[in-house]
Amino acid sequence: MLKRSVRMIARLDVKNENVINTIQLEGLRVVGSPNSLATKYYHDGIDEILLIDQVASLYQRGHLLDLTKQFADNVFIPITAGGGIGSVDEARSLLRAGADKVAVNTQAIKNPNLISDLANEFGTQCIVASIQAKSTSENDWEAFTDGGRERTGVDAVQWAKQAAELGAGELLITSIDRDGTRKGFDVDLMAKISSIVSVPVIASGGFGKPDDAKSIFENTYCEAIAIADFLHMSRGSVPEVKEALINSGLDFRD
Amino acid sequence: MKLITVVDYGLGNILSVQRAFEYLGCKVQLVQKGEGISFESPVIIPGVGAFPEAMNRLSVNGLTVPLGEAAKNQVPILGICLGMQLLFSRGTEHQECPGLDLLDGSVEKMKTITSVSDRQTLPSIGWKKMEVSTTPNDPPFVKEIKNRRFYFVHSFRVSNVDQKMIKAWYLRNDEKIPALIIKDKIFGAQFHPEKSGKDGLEFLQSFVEWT
Repeated sequence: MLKRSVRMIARLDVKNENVINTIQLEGLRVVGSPNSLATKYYHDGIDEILLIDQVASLYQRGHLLDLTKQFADNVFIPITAGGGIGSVDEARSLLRAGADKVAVNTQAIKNPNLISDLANEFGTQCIVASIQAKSTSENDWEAFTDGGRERTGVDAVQWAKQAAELGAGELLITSIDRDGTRKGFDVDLMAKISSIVSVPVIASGGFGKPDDAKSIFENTYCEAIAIADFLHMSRGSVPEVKEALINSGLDFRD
Repeated sequence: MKLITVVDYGLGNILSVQRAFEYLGCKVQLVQKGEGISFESPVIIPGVGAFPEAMNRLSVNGLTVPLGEAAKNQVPILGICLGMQLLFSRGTEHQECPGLDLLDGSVEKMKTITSVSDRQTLPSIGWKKMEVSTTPNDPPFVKEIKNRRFYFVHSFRVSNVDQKMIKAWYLRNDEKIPALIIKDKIFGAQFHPEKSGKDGLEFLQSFVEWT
């Protein structure tokens, strides 16, 4: 039997021109320039870059296009970019600026047809549905929008299933509870979602140590993980994360 | 400085393809209309998106006939991802749709498999190592693929192809997914060399040097 292919993604949340560290999606410290960090992680062997403009829903999003274009000059791995994208034209600008995939959250919950419109125009492989989930009881999670600030009353797991059906080629699931805590991913949430969809799922929120990578892949069907402050705060490196997967029975880029 | 023509029909990440060749020291000419296709430089057909939409755009911009002429005149053509799929006779996305028909074959959707042991999702995404089958006449960049990983992201695959054209493939459960196709001077890469880090750039470098 073939080994499952898994990916390590460096997640950069930005506010204006800086990468920020978030805890439960509240932006705190400024940690560095997006382009220099992305370039560093690229050279360290990260598989993909995720660039999310956390305040784009509130303010403008010109910065996102500029940053994406900068990355295209020196980062030759897949780039997913998102933040406030709400139309086919906005997605097209982002793709032409160098993004390979566009992530949508707030605008997609408000108007789920956005996902199918984008998928029909650009193909499902260009669309990532980003879902921020907060636990409301032992087995329930609610979806949030606007950088984790606004409740929606929508069941996150059901929305994930619907987003995949509408045409999202990947699901980026962020646990608001675990974000920035370094306590590990919300394995229950990720297991639930990854078992009911047939698109790749990316786990985000809570990565604290290299072993968290092994544990999420062993206990869920997730195919990728997003890592943020572990890298941004130099608590560890990309090679250390990959090293934890050696002898795990997983197929990954070493 | 080597000149490379990149067909820009509005689908896919053209900028990354352009930047990759520029990084390698090539001069890149983006061409949106058929008149821009000359026989002077290799032609790259990138693309991510839907087959019928892509063919529609190529057709509307007068690109289909010149690309056929370029192929007849032995101009090296490299199709990447959707660009590779468009080289074939027909696609089956949404509806049956003719492709550029420079190569015999069809493009079909792969299947998802939800059983526990052999689970396969779509799109098929990942950095894959490929199996390679070369002959002595093949360009060096075919052999060089072995043991390197390249980035794939696709839901459709090329099918009904002459096996001799398939120089590299990866396995998805039991299925051999064609990844590198060569016939004369027509090349198709299902992976994204412009997104495959250093190995991808070296593949493109080797391709440019060979053309």
